[in-house]
Amino acid sequence: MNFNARASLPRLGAGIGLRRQHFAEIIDRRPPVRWFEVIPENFIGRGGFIAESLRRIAENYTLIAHGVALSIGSTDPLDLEHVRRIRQFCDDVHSPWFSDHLCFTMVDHVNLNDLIPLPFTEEAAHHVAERVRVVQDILERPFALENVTYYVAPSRSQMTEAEFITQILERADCGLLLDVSNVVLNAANQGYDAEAFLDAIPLERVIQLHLAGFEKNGDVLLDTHARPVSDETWRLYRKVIERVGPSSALVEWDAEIPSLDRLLQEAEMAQKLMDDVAALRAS
Amino acid sequence: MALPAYLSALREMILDSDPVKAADLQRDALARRFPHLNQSELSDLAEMDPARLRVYTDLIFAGERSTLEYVYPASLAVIHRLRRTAGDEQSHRLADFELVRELHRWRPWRSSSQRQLAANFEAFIRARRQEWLLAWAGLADLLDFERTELEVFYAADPPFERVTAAKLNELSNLTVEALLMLRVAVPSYVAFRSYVFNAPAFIARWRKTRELPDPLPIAQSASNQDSPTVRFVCGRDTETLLPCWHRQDAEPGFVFTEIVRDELLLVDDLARRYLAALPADYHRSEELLFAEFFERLAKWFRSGILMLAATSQDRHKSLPPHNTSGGFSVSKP
Ligand SMILES: [Fe+2]
Repeated sequence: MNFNARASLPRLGAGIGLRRQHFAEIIDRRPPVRWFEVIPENFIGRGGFIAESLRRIAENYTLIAHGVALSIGSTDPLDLEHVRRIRQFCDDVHSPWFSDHLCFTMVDHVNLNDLIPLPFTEEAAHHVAERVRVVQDILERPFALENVTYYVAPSRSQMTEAEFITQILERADCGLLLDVSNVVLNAANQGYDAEAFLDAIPLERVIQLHLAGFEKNGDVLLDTHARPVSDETWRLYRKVIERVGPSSALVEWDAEIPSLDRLLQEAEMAQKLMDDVAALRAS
Repeated sequence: MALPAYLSALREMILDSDPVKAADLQRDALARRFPHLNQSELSDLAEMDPARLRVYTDLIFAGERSTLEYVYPASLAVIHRLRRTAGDEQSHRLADFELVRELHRWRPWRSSSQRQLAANFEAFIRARRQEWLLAWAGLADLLDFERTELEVFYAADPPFERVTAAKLNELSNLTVEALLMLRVAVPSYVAFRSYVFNAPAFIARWRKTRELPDPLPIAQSASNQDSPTVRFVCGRDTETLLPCWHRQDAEPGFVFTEIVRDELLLVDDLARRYLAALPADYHRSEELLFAEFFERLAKWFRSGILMLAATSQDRHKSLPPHNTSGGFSVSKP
């Protein structure tokens, strides 16, 4: 499965993350949601209420799988069994693509339980690209890497973050899940220009977008996913949409999760901006 | 290849660093600890802003603390009580954060499985917080109760059929003979437990009030061989799919303790075991006995302690020849 296969991927508009707090309401009320992003690790190997809810929601909605535990950048051996289970999960819910983060979460077989940045080096780029190829072969569907936030400046004497991302995507021939809020946040925390960053990455490889809220803690913006999407993020998102066209944009809200209606409002905002840009283009 | 050393160094700096060292000290320490790092990697790592590294440390251990709060809300409330009683005035959040750091140093979390973190936590308390277990003998059982309930909730679906209310209605229309010939199984997620106090009642009350009783209920020390224990079984409610607990000793004729989970058996077997398990002085008419058995059977089905063998796939699996009367000589009332 290579880059060309992505051309045929659906552009789903704005969606939201599927969270357990909302299962019953989604099943009972069947709200109009264009699509849900699902985290396979929350479902794999689980039965009962979790499996039954997923089955019922999958009957009525498009689901897109987004992983959190691939640890693609780790130097521990790739957990092929995990990748096969992800493959099965994607098959089961008919997820047309799969994504995970450009980072590591586990090393020396110790779980860091967070997205830890990789050094921006040739060696790391080569390492990740090799592993992405293995993952794509097992998944047999397009795979996208998501740009993560980073609070410490990882090794960047060899290349910039944008160069690092570009090298990996091109070497592995995979897609990009562009987290727009992560760009805003990294630009602020690391002191670079968000738009220049967009200019430097292969936007033609974007197959999905993320939008999330963050919070200020002292001099650092934290990617908490516990707040509405910021105005800066909306502005940058609009610029992204102007360049990549309509896409599949996901509002992430993972802590202090609000009501389903509040989440849907946020998704409507993402959809409206997408529609506005499309209307402008058409006129 | 310096990438493995780089990632390991970053891991140690985030998870294991003691009070942060000045950059040149950090550089020397890293060079000794990770000889494969090249000069530029050493500089990059040594010059990382300690305050920013601390962001990761805080996020990671706060995340682990949240996972434990999710698995053990009531046990942690008890731990908070025990800490206060022992005169510790530290804030609970901070104390729990330090507890999780100590847990990490004692036994790091080596997979992304929540279950493994939970197992580590319980082992840690047994090894390093004996004083809590001694201060309240119910703590070990409460920890086990909360983890078990979550395991039952999440457990994979067994290859058997859930008996929903509609299905139960169908079964109630069967003849006694047909009913006794049904094949059933106790699914693997079902948990049998003996506790030194009534943990399910304790939790039910705590969930309602979010307040612990003062004093904590009397729990006999588990090390006392003669201590009375209360026996429970936890299944998964057929309609809500939520865990549900039954006290075994509250039921005359509880039959499941010797049944192997996931093994097929006939309702007829259950009926025989049921009759054998009734107290000797339990006198009822045949009709009443059967009615009570059916009522019990329905309850076991509803609470997911018992499931029906899936009809198609294992029809060919033979069971030993059997005289199907279940010990009952009646037709169904
Ligand atoms: Fe994201």
